[in-house]
Amino acid sequence: MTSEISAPTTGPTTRPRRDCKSVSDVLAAVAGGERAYGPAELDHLASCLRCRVEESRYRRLMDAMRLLREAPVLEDSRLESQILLHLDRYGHRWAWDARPRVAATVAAGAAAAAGLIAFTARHRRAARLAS
Amino acid sequence: MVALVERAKSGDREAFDRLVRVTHSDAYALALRLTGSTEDARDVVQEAYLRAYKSVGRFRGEAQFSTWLYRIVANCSTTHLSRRHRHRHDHLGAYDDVIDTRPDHDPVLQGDLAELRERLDAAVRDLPARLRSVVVLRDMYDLPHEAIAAELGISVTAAKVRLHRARRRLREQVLPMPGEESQP
Repeated sequence: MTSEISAPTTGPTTRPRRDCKSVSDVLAAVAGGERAYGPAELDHLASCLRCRVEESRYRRLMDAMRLLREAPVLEDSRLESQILLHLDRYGHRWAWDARPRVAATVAAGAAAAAGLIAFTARHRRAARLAS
Repeated sequence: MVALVERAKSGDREAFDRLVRVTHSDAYALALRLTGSTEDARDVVQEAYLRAYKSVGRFRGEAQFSTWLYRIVANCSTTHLSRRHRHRHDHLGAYDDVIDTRPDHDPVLQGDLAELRERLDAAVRDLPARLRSVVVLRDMYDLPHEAIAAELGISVTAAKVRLHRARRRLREQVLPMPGEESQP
């Protein structure tokens, strides 16, 4: 570690002190808004210039990430039409694929109706013979 | 947008086409950031809109339509990248020319941030895909950990660990502390 940034100073406190390593692990999560500092971490930050500098760098990183999202991306001018064409192809394919399904449903319905008619006729004939 | 989504949910193809027109730039930007290649991003976006079209009837409106779409884009990117990983033909450098670096409105702050943004952009691209996807979805697109984990097919804990590693790596690379500067 270089000497330009001081190590944490120790002072009178009843809370267990945190070291730079353990505080460093939470700096990114706090900068990302996923958690807040605990009292011991705040104590450490109050007395450790290095961790405060690292904290400010994480905040800056988060700002830059948001800015990066806002950076416009130059897109291919044909993209929109390509997406719509892709959807069209799916629509046609679906309609084409649906034909056998419709035909199969109609055939199954016709077969069921024919079966029902045959069954009813046989039942009636049996009843007639019995009488 | 809400009205368009409702019409699209009831099967109105014209409404869905208008949703495509309104949202495709943002979806493409996310796909590009996740895949790092214009060619892959184009494929991912086409596939994502097809999936969205097939399932828009099930969109419950609990999140914004854009967030729902981001999740689909993330999922398609993961599938696409894993497929590409098997075939192994990366197009590194294709991403270099597509970021528009025009300065924003605050010249003092933005001047410095713009330079930082350039370095960050390069650092994000250099991240391994598994770290890049998590940090892009979380820190750029604000997706919750649970959604990220679900779309990438990993646990929430794994998503948090990857995010932590990605942020640390980016910070060390873009804003290094004394002693962390990369060796020549």
